[in-house]
This record gives sequence, C-alpha cells and structure tokens, in this order.
Amino acid sequence: MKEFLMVLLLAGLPYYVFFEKKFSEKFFYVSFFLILVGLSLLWFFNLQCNYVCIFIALATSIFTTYKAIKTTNLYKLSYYFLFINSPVYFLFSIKYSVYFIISLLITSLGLFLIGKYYERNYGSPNFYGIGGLALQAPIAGLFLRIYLITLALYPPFPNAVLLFNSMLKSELDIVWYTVVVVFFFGNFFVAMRILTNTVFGKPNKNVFYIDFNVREKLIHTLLNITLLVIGIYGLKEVLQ
Amino acid sequence: MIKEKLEYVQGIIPHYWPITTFIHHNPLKGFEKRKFKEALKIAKDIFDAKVYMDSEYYVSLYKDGKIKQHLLEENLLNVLQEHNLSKYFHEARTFLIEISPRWESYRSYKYLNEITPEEKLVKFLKTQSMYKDLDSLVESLTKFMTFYEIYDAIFDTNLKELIEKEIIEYISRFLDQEQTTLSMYQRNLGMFNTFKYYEGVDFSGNAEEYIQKALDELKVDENSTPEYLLAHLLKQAGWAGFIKYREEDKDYYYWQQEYPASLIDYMAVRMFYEQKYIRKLPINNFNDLNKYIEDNKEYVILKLLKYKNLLPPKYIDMLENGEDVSDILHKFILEKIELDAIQIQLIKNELITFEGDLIEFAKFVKILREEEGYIWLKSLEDSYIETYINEFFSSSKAPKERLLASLVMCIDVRSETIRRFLERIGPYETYGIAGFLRMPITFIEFDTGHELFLCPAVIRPDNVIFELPKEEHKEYMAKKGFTKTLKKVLSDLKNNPYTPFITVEAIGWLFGINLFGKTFFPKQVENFFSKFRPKKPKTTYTIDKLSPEEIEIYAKKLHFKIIREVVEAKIKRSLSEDEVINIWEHLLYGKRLDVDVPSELIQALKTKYNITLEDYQYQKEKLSQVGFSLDEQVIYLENFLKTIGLVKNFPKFVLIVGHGSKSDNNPFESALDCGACGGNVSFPNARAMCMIGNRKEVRDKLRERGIDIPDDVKFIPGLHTTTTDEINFYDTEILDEDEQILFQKVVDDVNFASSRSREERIKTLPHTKTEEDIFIKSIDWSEPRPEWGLSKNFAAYVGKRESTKHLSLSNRFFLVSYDWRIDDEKASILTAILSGPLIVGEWINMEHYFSTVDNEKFGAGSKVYHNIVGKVGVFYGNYSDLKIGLPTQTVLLEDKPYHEPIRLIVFLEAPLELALKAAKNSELANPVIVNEWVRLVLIDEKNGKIYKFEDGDFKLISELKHCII
Repeated sequence: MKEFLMVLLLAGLPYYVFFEKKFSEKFFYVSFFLILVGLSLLWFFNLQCNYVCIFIALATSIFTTYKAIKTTNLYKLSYYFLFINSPVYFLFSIKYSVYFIISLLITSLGLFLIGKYYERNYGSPNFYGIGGLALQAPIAGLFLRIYLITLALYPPFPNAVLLFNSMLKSELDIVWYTVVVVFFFGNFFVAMRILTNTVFGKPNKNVFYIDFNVREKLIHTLLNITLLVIGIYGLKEVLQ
Repeated sequence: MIKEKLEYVQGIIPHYWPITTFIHHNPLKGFEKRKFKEALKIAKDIFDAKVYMDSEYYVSLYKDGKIKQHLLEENLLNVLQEHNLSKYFHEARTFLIEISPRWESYRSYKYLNEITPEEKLVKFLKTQSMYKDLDSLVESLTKFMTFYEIYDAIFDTNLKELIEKEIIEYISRFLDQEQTTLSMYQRNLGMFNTFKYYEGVDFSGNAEEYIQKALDELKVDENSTPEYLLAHLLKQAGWAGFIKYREEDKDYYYWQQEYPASLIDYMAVRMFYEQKYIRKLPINNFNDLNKYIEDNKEYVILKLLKYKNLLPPKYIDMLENGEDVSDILHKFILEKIELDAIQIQLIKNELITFEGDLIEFAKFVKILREEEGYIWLKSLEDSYIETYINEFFSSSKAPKERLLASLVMCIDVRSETIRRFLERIGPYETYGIAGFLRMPITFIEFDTGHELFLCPAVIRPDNVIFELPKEEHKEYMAKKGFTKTLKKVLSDLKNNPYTPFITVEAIGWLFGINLFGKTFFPKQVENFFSKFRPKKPKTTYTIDKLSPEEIEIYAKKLHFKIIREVVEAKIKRSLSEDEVINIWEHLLYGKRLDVDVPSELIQALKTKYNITLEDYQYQKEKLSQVGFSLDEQVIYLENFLKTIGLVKNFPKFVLIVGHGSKSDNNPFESALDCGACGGNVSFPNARAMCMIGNRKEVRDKLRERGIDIPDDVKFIPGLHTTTTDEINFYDTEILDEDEQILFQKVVDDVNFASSRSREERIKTLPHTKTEEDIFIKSIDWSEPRPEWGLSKNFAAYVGKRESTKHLSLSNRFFLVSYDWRIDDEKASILTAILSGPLIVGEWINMEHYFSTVDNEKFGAGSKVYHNIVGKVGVFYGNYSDLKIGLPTQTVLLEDKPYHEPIRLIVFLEAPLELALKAAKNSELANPVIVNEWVRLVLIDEKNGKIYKFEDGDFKLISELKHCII
C-alpha cells in the first residue's frame, strides 16, 4: 500500500489520462504538487521501493514518451516529462532522487512557464506552427533551449550530471540499464523534437512574434540560476 | 497533349543556369510580358512569396531622406485618384508612414476581450475574405497543392518528404556532372528511359504517355491538368528550372547532349513516385479525395489550415481534444474576422479625420495595403531619378592634347571607381562596354579544352577561338597533368562511398595542414602553394579563319588520330599512313578495306567513335567557325569603336580590360565574373579584340570605312580582378623600348587608381580595415563575402562619359558608353546596347531585387548551409531544392538588406526619336521597357528635354539647362 502510494505520488502511474482533456494547465500544478508530497515522504520516511514499482514506472515512462511524441502542447509536455522520468525516482538512492527531482521540477516549471508565454502571446500553449523563436524571439528561445537541453540530459546541465553521479555511485544491474536506456532516449527524443519545432523551426509569417517581457526575463533568470547552483552541486558530487 | 499543357505553365518556372557559369537572371522572366506591378501580384500568389520589402524598410529610407516626401505624395495621390479616394490623401499618407509599419501590433488576442467588433464590419469583412463560404475556402487552400500534400495535411502522413526525397535523389544522380565517382548507368538513354531501367518500371510508352496514365489514375480532370502540372513543378522549382535550361539550350550544353533530360521526363518521374506512394492508400484518386472532403468539409478545412500554419495553436488543441469540428471552425473563422475588424477599428481610431464609415474605411485600408509596396518602390526610384537628372553633365571639356591612354572596361558597376580615379590622375579617358565587346565568341582554352561561350546568355556565338601555346610547354603540361591527377585521386577518394574513412585515417592530417594554414595564415599558405603551381606558357589565339584546305586537313587529322589509337590498341601493331587512310575511306565512302581489321572494330569505329561522313562534315563545319575572316575582324572592331564612341583622336594606348573575380571555397565565384560573358572571365574577348586592333590590314580596311587609327596606336589587353581591384596587362612585348617607358607610366597610374579604389571599398566591406585585408579576402577560404560584387547596383547610364565623370557613383552604376551622334538613322548601335547590355543589366538587377526581397523563395539562403550537388548548383543539407538565386551574404549584411532592391533606372542619353526606334527594333528590350521592368529616363540633349517612360508614354520631367542645337 505504502509503495503503491509512492508510485502514484511520484508519477509512476499515468493518471493524467483521466484529467488532461479538460485540465491540462491545472494538471501540471496537481502533478507538481503530488511529486513534492512524494518527495517529502521519500525524504522524511526514507522510503525505498521495490522492482515492481520500478517496472510500473517504466511502463508509464514508455507510454508517456509515446504521448509526448504525439502532442505539441507545452502544458502537457511539462508534466509528461515528470512521468517520463518517474522510474529514476525509485532507482536512485534517496539523496540523489531528491536532487534529481528538484532539478526536474524546476526544468519542467520552466517549460510550463514557456507554455504560459506561448498562451499569452500566441493564444495557446501549443507550439505547432510557432517555430523560429531563435530568430524571432531570441530571449524566449534562449531560455527554452536551456530547459530542453537540460531535459535532453546533456551534460553539464544538472539533470545529466545528477544522473551520471547516481550511476557512478550505485551498483548497476540489468534493471538500471533498461531504465536508463528507456528514459534517456525518451527524454532526448521528446526534448529534441520540441527544440527543432520551436527554437529552430521556420518562423511563421502569419504570426506576430513577441519576446519575453521584463517579468518573464526575471523569473526565468532565477530558475536558471537555481539550475546552475544544482548543476554545480552535482558536479562537485561527481568529482568527489 | 500533355506537352502542350506543360509548355503552357513552364514559363512560370525561372531558368537556372549551372553554377559554374552563373547567369544572373530575372526569376520572374516568364512574367515579363506583363506589367511589372501586375506580374508581381500574380507571382506573389503563385510562389507564395514576398515581392516588395516590408513597409518598415521603406519608412526608414523615407526618414533618412532617401525617399523624397513630394514624390511619395505624388505617387500616393495618383493611386488614390485611380480609386476616387483622393479626399483621404492625408489619412493615406499617415497610414503609409505611421500605421502600416505597426500593422501587426493592432492585431492581438488581448483586444478580443477589450473591444467589441462592429457587427456590420464583421459581416462585410467575411464577404471579402476567403472564409466567405466553405467551398471557396477549400478551393483556395488546396490551390497549387499536389495530391500527396493534401493527403498529408488531412491524414497527418509524411508522404511529401518521402516522395520529394526520392525524386531529388534520382534527378540529382541523373543530372550529376561527374561530382560522384559512381555515375548512374545508361544515362544516355535519357532521363525517363534511364528511370524506367533504374526503377524497373514496366511501361513501354514514353514519358508523355506515362504522365497521362498517371493523371488518369489520379483522376485529375482535363481542365485542372495544367494547374496540377504547375503544382508539381513548383515543388522543386530550382531543379525544374535547371532541367528547363538544359532542354532549351541543348545545342550548347554538353551534358544535355550526352544525357538528355526534359521537363516531360522530369514530370513523369514525379508522377511515378507520387503513384508509388499513394497507390496503396485507401484514398488514392481525386474523385475519392473530393468525396472525402465533401463529407468532412469542416474537418478537412481545419487540417488544411493547420498544415499551412494558418490555424492558431488553441484550435489545434481543440482538434487534439476531439471537440466538434464544426464548432472549432466556426469559432476560428469568427475570431479571425473579429480580429480583422478590431484591427480596422483601432486603426480608424488613429485616423479620426476619416469621414466615411467603417466599411468604407476597411475598403480604403485594403487598397492601401495592396498598393503600398509599389507606391514606396516607385517613390524610391523617382527620388533617385530626381536626384541624379540634375547632377549629370558638367562643364568639363574635351582635352586639347593627345591622351596617353584610353581605358575600356566592362559596364560592370565595379569598374566605376577605378575609372573615376584614373581619369582624375592625368591624360586618360575611360569607356564602358559590355565585357563581350559586342564580339560573341566560343573560347577554347588550351589546357582545359572546354568550350566557353563568352557573350550574354541570350546570344549564341558564331566564331570559335582556340588558345594555342606559342612556346615550349611540355613541362607545364606535365606539372598540370600531375596536379590534375592528384586532385582527381583525392576527389575520387573523398566522393566514393567506400573510401573516405580510410582516406581520413591515412592522409587526413595532410588536409589538416591545409585547413589550419589557410584559416590562420592564408597569405603565407597561398605564397607557399603558388610556388608549386605550373606557370602557363605564353599563348596566342586563332584569330584568322582556316583555309578550306586547312579545314580538310584538320578534320581528317582528327578522324585519323582516333582510328590510329583505337585500331593500334586492338591489333597490337602500328598502322601506316596509307592504312589509316584506307580504313577512313572505307568507313566514310564504303571503299574496299585492304587492312586486316576485325569487323566488330570497324563497326565500333562507326557507332561508338562516330567516324562517319556526317561527323566529318560536322567537324568541317565546326572548323570553319574557327577565327574570323578579315571582313569580320574589321566589322567587329568598327562595332566596338563606334559603340563606345572612340572613332577619332586616338590615344597612344587603347587598354581593353576584361574582368574576373578571385576567391576560395566559393561555389558562387562565377556570379562575380562577367555577366555579359555568361558568368565567365571576359579577358579572352579583350585580348582577341586587341589582337584584331593591332593588325595593319584591319586598320587599312577600317580607314576605308572612315575610322583612322594611327599606326603608332597600340591595343593592350588587361584583366581586372574585381576582388582585389588589381589590373594586370598582357601582350606588352609588342611595345618597343620607348613605348615600354611610356607604358610603365600608364601601369603606375592604373595601379594608383586601383589602390584608391580599394581604399574606397574598404569603407563598405565588413571586417576590412586595410588594403591588405582585401587581398586576404580573395584567398581566405572561410570568407563568405570576398567582395560585394554587384550588390547595390541600381542604375545604368547609357551615354557619354563626360556627362558622369565628375560624379562619384560608388560602384552602383552600369556605365555604358554611347554617343548618339555616331549612331546611324536606324539606331543600330543603340538597338544593340538595348538588346545586350540592358538585358544583362536588368537580369542582374532583378536577380538582386528578388534575392533581397524574399531570399528564401528567390535567393539561395546562407552559404553556411550549402552543399554542392552534381557540380550544377547548391542545395541545403543532404537533399533539397536547387537554390536558384543569390546567397544572403551577397545581398544582406547582418540580416538587414545591404542591396537596395529597386528596378534598374536606365538613364539614356539620346534623342527621343532615336530611342523610340531602338526600343521598337529590339525584340528583347521592348517588353522590358514597355512593361516597366526597368525605369527608362531619356535625356534628350538634342532637344534639351528629359523624359521618364511611364504608363506607355514618355512624360516630360525636366528641361535641360543646355541644348546642343
């Protein structure tokens, strides 16, 4: 029961399928909050999950990767990433799980806020047909690029560093290999797909592009500073 | 039938010449029969392209004072008068200058919650838009779409990518000009026949029949066929344009003769791949597709809108969530129209003096939006016209003393600075004439053997000139042969699919030396490698015609050589002269064969090596084109001198200077060479003309025709390297000792003028501070912009140099020397100028115009992403359409236009009646002038008037201060 609760809280089950049709925006908050609760439980009660939890989360991860490839909605994508990465929460030791989850939550929040930016300026968080940010809205393009590269597990961004750190400091087995391969490629493909269609895609001449305002610049800069700090910590851990 | 339909639409596709002889051309050449403004409107829809700059661009020029206020107002008023809207002149002016640049800012979703759109206006706008009814919406959305594109849009498939990839893969391999080491087999069968072999197509008919069959299977109705064929051609307009060029120029294009291709073949290939992918689909013809569209109209419209990036993302979300399509479409259309209405309302709020109602205002705005591009463009052109017409003519008088030299350069804009500086130094005068010097030639360089057509692309030469060495050249040929072999081996290793890895492993470091050396020490590396380059021996040209006997001898020699090589290799013994003659006579005239040669070899000589009577006659005909008869030489020299107006007061030296460019790692290098010589270096024309000019017998004959060139006058050829502005002179050994001393002064002065010209160009070239930097640009392989080339060209001055020599024209004018007082009654010289240089200038200008206005559609994009394909052109990445125009580095600077896109303004110094005759006589120039693809300004010095050609008439715009009669 305890383990099932953890699987549910830490995005190991794709419960979003029941809500996302109507609440895609709000659902990000829900999943974000549930993961925070799960994270706290994980931390305070020092909970460990068994292989069954990992396999359930792995199945969720594969299913969500498929869903992520099918959608162009940034709200959905921001919580899909939380579900794609779920097997890792159970695989890592608690300490590294916590750091990884925090880093992932910040990155997903960044992506979600980019979705907000899309909605405010282009009418929807859907990025279909709104490409070429690198040219048309370079600051938004830059921040989006950082989030996506982080999600794609590129070193030295924190997600990748924390993953490699965990791999170096754990005893690896076949489950590790399977999970890492699945979630690594899942993250990479989905993030790269968004990157090519938003940042580097062809600008749409029917759209009037607007870049970040001051408030957005400030919020995203803070998020990036936090990511940087976690990244530095991660690097320090690796070097130890 | 199909052929006729294809011919009907293929004019729309721009020509594309191979990149090795880059021809600047008007991408809308097929539209030149229409008025410029009307043609652009049509082309905009067909190519889905921009045809004018954005209004911000023009407004910034207006604020800089380049567009004059009164001319903008005049042009605006003319348009308003056409539409009976002149009472709203002030509102229209405010709209153009203040509202239009901010057009998009009046259109925001946030206004939907703040402003209520007027119902009447919404209704009106809906009737005016493509959203007025669903049928016309489907029709307009599917215009110029192929079956597979519509299918992709509706069913989220990826057929277009698969189909286009296969098409490009096949045609790029078929049209390859020995870039690859593994050529396609059987290409001599022609594009479609080879294709059948390549794809194993079981179809016995020809390409036309295949297309008909495919169209029948697709159920394309008879009336829609031309449009459907056009839709296919537009998908890869660059490749289609190149095939069109090959097909139309087959007599002069080696690769077309060897491996024929045609648009019909290409279309059959396209149809094959389309059929290949759609045949197995549940919906695979237009009847079924149209039925599906009819049954699911709202859904299909939404999918088409999404495919074309016209559907805002929130509606994509609604589609994704499976909401009712009818609702989605209704909401989308309503919102779209409401946004339009709010935009109109907001703008009207800013133009409060507009008295009419909102509907009248909407009509007013629509007219202005449609007309503003042309209004701005014309105003910019008119501003330049007004600025310059009062600047021409100065009080400078012809010098009394004999000049030391006359410098004749190409009309190319890049010659202007050197000419200007040289004239200011001392006793010099300069002339401009199209680089081919009105002497079209086929030139065959001695160490390459390739034919170069040195004349504008619209002309075909009748005379052939061979370059022959006149000193020992065995060592040169050996070195050259070695270099060529080495290059070939490296190229084969690089381009073969199996060898690059091993090559890199084994000798990759050698390339590294070159790579780092050229990048960090380009000058030193260039100096080092230049030491190993073989020095070309002194050469001469075959200026004289061959006698009939010589023609016979050479034609036979060619056949004899082939027979000897082929037969001796087979029978392993030497043949005597008589035996070769016997075999030849047997082959050509069926005489008895006395030599023991296998019959299959005889057959091979006939079929494979073409030793036939027809070929013999053909070779004789070709040889008869070599050189010029004495009369031809006289006529060409006379034409040349009369065209530039140099018929008396000859200076000591007449310097005829051709031009070419020098750069490294630049596929577009030939675009920087002489446009009037078909994208080649124009030095051979200059040298041949000098050789003719120095002949005593030619001068004697010319004297009889009224042009007396004193015996001491020497014609000296030169080459202007436009990248570095250096001019080198050749054949100076004809000068005696005293003349050498005099000539050295000329060389020094020319070098000084070159240096001043470089100093002037430094100011415009980015990252260039010294003259040294300019030289490095010409050898730096990482330099995407070795020179600005013809960028910023905007006008041509056809007239006497005296009229412009006091002006600094900043390398922006084509300077064509012409003295109407020398022309005959038929205006022959002017007709020739309008038919050649004017057309070349217009093509160059239009190429720059469209490459600047919409580089994605009409240009070549950034050089950074280019890959050379088949040695015919460049494309993006591994496969894409052939890029047809100029790269961004030629027309843009830091993403902003460097070239100023306007039509060529032709200032023509000639009496009205003479200009009318010439324009009427010139079939090529007539439509270009009449339809205003160039802006003609006539300076009638004789009657003291200046006219502007507009709306089919010459309009008087100014009186000249002086008048010669």
